[in-house]
Amino acid sequence: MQESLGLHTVVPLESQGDAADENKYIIFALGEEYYGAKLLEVREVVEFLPTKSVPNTVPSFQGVCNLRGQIIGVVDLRIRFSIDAPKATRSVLLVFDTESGAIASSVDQIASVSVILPNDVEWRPNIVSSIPSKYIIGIGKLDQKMITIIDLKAVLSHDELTNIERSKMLVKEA
Amino acid sequence: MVDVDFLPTFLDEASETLERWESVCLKLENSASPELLDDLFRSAHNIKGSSKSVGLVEFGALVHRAEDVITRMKNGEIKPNPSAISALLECQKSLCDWVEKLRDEPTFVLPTQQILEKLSEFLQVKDPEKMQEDLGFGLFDEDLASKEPIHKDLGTILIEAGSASVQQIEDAVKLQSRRLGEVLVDTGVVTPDTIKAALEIQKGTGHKQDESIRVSLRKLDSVIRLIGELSIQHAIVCNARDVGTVNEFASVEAIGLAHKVIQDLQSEAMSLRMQTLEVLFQRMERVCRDVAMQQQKSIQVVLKGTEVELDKTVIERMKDPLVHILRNAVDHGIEDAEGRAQSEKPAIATLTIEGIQTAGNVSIRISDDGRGLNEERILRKAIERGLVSASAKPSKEEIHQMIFLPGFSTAEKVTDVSGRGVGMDVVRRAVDDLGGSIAIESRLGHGTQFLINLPSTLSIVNAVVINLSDKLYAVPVQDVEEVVDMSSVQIERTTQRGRVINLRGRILPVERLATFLPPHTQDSIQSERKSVAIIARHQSTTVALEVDGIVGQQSIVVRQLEGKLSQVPGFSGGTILASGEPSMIIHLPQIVKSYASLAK
Repeated sequence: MQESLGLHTVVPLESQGDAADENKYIIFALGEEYYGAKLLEVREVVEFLPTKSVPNTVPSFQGVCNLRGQIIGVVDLRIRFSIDAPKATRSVLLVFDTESGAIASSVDQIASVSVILPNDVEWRPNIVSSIPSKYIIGIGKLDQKMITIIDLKAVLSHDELTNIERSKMLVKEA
Repeated sequence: MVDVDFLPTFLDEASETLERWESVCLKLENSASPELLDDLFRSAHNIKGSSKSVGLVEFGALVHRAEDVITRMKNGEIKPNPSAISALLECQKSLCDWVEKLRDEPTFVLPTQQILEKLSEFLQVKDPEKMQEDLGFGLFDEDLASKEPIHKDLGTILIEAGSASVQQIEDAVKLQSRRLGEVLVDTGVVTPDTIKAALEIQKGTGHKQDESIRVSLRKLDSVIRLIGELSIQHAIVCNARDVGTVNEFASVEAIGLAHKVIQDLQSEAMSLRMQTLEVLFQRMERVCRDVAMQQQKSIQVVLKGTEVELDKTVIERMKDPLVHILRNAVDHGIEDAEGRAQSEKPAIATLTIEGIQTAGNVSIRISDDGRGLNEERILRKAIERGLVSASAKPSKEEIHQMIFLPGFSTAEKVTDVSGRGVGMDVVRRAVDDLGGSIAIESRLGHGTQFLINLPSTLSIVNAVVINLSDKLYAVPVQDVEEVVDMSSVQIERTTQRGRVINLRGRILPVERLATFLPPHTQDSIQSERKSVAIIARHQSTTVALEVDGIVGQQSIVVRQLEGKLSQVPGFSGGTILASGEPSMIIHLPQIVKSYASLAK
């Protein structure tokens, strides 16, 4: 996977001190494009688990999966960010621990864990994209490639999952 | 400096000792035996000792004062009269509140001036401040300079951040009868925002408190024994696999035995979470006593079935609802002395709180011999408030259930005790959430009885697994009244949309469950088989919900849903089915409620 991207700056996880961890990003693919998320915020990376869809949820909510006995919700990022590309057959789950509990997002594949130094990042760029700009932390340069760094944890913890448009359900009181 | 490492242990111990304190005080009211006084003294003495050892100086000082009062009682210098016992109970209450606060905020200091003075009245010591001074204020001592405090108090954080000087903090602490942060803001040393930020830091360094419960050694031994047995069976199977005899009798038997052991282990493990109702009931007795005293009513509280066990979570969540019911019972249910005399009842009212164990369920019965529910008045009030239509002709039971409607309160006067318009609907919701039910029986002039039916555990549920739009879901058996084969009953159309069935003389409306749980947008549905319906009831609505099939019945382990997922309507949790696939647990009462609102 790395070769195809031509990323050379893959850092073994143990080789750097705490300070460097701040600059580590997990680089993943959604369709043709590559995105990054802060490595420290990711609880774990899980290879493909079958998900089961749940009624009364938004279209981007892929369903729930059984992660070692824990029921975890999975958000399909390609639908969430309206990325138009054929779905990978075996996606990968990035699991996050948010304040309100664990939740995962599915991505097409993990490319690498890379260091992007703060100087190589254009912070909070003012660009129009399918991803709401409040969730874009910056655009990072990694070996001549542009990586959109997303605040995935914020996306996952703020998104409402309930959608009862097609149902006759009463809404739950929070 | 408070020792945060030992604080949780101390707090658990203190809660337990304070419960003891309370029960002894309640007994002392009836008979002042020297044994009870000794018991009380021991409780106070223990807490005093351990509080000082974890550095809670002010806490210890308050207990010390109470201990002095108890000592004088023991020596016969003070009579254990109601006012003295009330003071001790009040002190116990403050200590309980303090303990709760300390769980979140290890540096919390309760203002004790008032209660100290109250206790001092019995000691004829008029200067509580003096005593406190001797003990120091505990927040700041030599530990302030220590390099790596495990838990920093607010003052230290502010000093380190340069927001306030040591002198300013110390001055503020001297004035402290309230929270340090408030004092600092009021005296203009720091802004509210700075305090907020500092408190955030404090939260971050604070320990996430783990709850603990007491477990009997017998139960623990039994769990360990079962695990031992399980590993023996496992070894047999592993060995059989290695030598290639997995299919032979010995290993098949081992697998069978292992299955039985796992079941035993599961029920033992569940029972570790069970607690007796004793502590809960004792607390309720206290509530009744306090309200009765406040209203100058004399009541006798009878506790029965305190040995019945219930899941700790269920107990915790029933605490507030029970308080509401009991407050209402004493406040509205039981007549004042005059009223009782008029209706020729014994002067002392009786209130019974009873725990009843039934198969798989636990009931709590609260009965009083008060004036009973006035159906006429309840109905009038409900109509007045627009909660029911004026033309409705509800049955007696339906009228009784009206007291649980949100916004219903029949108290003519709003009293301090009850009748704030909130309350009984909260009770209903809490019981519903637990998957329980409440029944009311009442006879005007003779009393009221609440029967609360609760599941004894929340973790393992017997469930019907159903098929809906090619997906499997679990439905707790307790929510299903009956399963009906729709091909065996006549479905009749009433209107364009409405369908009903005649089930042994009962006319029930029919609705597709998929109306409430439509397939997710990404799903493509293969088949449409509507042949089975589950009958579900919630309050006065009963409906037959069509599903695509019944797969079977199994015990499922309930997993709480996390975060936003828990807010998706229609579900109460998740589970892993025997096949390993995740499945959602359907919350039928909510579906029926949605149906009822649809029908309106």
